[in-house]
Amino acid sequence: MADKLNVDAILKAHPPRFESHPFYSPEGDCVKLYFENVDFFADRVDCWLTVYKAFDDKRVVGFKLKNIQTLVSAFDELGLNVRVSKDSWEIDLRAAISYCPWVWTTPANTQVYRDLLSQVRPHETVALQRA
Amino acid sequence: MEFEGFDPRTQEPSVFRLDMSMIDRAQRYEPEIKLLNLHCVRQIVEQPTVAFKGLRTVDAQLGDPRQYVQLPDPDALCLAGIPGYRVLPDGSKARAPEGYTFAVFTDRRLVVFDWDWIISDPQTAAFPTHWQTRFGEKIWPIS
Repeated sequence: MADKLNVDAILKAHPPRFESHPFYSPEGDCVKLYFENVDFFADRVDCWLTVYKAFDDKRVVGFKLKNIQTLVSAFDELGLNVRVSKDSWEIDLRAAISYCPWVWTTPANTQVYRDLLSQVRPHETVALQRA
Repeated sequence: MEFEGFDPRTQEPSVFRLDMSMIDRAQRYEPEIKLLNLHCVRQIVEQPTVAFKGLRTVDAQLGDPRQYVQLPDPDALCLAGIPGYRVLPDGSKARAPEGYTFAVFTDRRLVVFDWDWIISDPQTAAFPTHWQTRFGEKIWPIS
């Protein structure tokens, strides 16, 4: 049997050094971007989007776009271009957020996407590793 | 990295895994609390209050998502519960935030791919909100 998870050893070897930068998680097939280095919780919006909110005042401090490769394929079928270049798996984050409601959401959730757009820098891109 | 936990499918101790590349990304691009929350991960995988199989299922009340939504891993797991403590950036221990439960997500091989505090079900505090529609089935505890 394996040992217990040694968190102290992980933290010692990997001292946190936060930088607000989007990244792709191949394990979860998602893109994440955090705006602030604060204590937060996850609030699921729909099957595409989870927003991260600060515990102190529930402001949005980050987000996760889920099922991202399926989502990009859906955009392709709808003729919505989020790729930085043709056949590239580098995507424009603001375009992806903008187009999500075209795929599937509710009017209430559309406002969440709209609010999120104001927090993402123009031309912020992230590379997806194609599975 | 391998560590021990409870497999809700077999109700036996089992080996969980955490990819070091995830740790590297969390170190650089996620808030400091993300790695500190590994203290909660350890507690929940050792003794989950509830576990679900099948992630990313679609909210039935929201209708058909135009056939694009797939189930990448219907056998993935969510283990959830309220840890006895959490560790804050100043090193102090604190109680779980009221109204929230901690969730650990793994694939079918028990490879952890995310963990977060999420809003609790108002009826059952240790259960995630909307657990009835966001997961495939509850597999632990057996009822």
